[in-house]
Amino acid sequence: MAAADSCDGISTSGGGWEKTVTLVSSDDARFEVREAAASLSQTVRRMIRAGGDGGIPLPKVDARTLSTVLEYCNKHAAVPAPAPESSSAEAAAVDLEWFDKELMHVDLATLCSLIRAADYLEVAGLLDLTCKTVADMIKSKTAEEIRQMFGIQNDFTPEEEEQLSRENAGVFE
Amino acid sequence: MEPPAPPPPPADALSSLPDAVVDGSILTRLDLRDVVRTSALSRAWRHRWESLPTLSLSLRDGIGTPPSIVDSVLSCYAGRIPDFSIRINSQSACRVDDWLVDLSLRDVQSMDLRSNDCLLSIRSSIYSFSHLVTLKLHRCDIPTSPVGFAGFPLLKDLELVDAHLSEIEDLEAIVRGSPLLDALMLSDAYILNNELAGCVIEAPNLRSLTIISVVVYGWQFGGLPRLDNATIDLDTYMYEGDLGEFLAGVAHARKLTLTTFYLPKMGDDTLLETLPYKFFNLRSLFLCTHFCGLYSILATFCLLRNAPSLEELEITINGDQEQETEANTEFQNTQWTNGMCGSLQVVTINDISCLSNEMCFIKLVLSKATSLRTMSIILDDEFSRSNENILSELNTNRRASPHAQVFLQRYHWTK
Repeated sequence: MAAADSCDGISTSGGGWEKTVTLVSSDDARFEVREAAASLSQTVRRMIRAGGDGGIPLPKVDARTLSTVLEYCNKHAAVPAPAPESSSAEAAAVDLEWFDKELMHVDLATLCSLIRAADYLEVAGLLDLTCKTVADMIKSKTAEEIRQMFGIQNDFTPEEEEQLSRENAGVFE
Repeated sequence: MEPPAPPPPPADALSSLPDAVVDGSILTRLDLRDVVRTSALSRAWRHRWESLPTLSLSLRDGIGTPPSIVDSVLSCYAGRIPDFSIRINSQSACRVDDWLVDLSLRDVQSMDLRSNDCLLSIRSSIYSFSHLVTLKLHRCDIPTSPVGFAGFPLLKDLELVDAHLSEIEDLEAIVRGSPLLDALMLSDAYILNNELAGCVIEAPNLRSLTIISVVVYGWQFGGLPRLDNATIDLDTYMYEGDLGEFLAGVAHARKLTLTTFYLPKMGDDTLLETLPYKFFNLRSLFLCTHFCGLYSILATFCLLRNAPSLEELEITINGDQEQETEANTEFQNTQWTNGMCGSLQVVTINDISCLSNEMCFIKLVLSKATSLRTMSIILDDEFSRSNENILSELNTNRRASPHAQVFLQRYHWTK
């Protein structure tokens, strides 16, 4: 079955009569999305339940970020669960893993926008994926490498630096 | 706008994220070293790790963890420690009791203590870790559970390797106190007071059981209704009762791994020839055995006769024994009963030297197993006889299954 594969947020529901909802980004872009995909966001799900017309406003997410979030939701909500342990279930899992990996090939600023959006929209899977990506960036790096990567200012005095290295030396380095 | 190259780091990217996300979803994924290293980033980060919601105290250093690390982490960090996993050496062994007292208040869910050299004596504070889901103890002297031990109500995975216990009842008490236990692994458990036989292992939710032991303590498996997978490797199972009796408690498993090449202690009268039960659920059987002596040959046939649903059989030939008994085709034929191995589809035989008994067994299976699809034979690369020679011997043999294919492989030792 063809998955809804649009990246620009216009719904191409694969199964005919699927219910859609309209999401409105902070910069007033409108996205028509299958309800099943949009409901991966707990925040949106609550707003759908509350009802109202004219689209669901998401004032904390810009269009660029929202389109990536929806790309994730469309992909992850597209796969109808086949029988577990079947080969197609395995293939679908591998495909999703690839998709997730590709989605994380973004610069740090974009990654941080995605984390903020996933946190606000409560898309648990995406929050997990993005946070894991950041954690992997920190792993096995020196303090200086981490500072450079994330733009953290080293504001220790030389005395404090020395004390720190005394405390940690030989123990953690 | 920033200049186009080099790409500038965003101004403190992490501080643009909600604290709860950085602490709860990013930093908690790091191992101890990486977490503590963040204290050297800046003043704002200096003590940040000390107030994380959880911290993994996991240091799997090969040589043992310097005790000062654990001491300083426990004194700086007051929160929950879901994972405590370290290697103990002679320097840190004397600190373990203090650590366990401290950790018993920290909601530890997974504990993995491995002593590198000395036998580690742990105190009964181990019994107060009521949140444990996983408990792995290697080379530990395990104390008797205290009066009023409430069990490990959440424990699913218990692994005791080279464990010393004073009474068999201590083991029984731990297992009985862990109603959710899913996987139990006992490798070389030593029990000091072993006069009382009859340890009964009862675990209503156990799905995987592994017992590797040089000594058997007359344990029996009473209630293991959900058992799926059992691995039994006993050196001297003739110590109390026979192997058949011993296996009765795991006879309903779907997958069984057995080592049956050891000689019985009490002589030929305990040969495994008949069983008062059948392995009705058994689909996969992995045997570590050989075809050199009567005992192991009879045990293999006895198991096969009593496993009517068997689909997969893998035999790994143990050691380089001389063939001391000749069990020719005629003899092996007498061991075969009608309908035996009727569902058997896949047979693999590893480390074979093509001794006559082994070849007779392979030919017999080929000529009798009506559902056989593949017979894979894997030999040592140094074995002199050529593949063609072996295959031509097997290809002249009658095959009961029209779909049966024979594969011959040699493996190369990677240097």
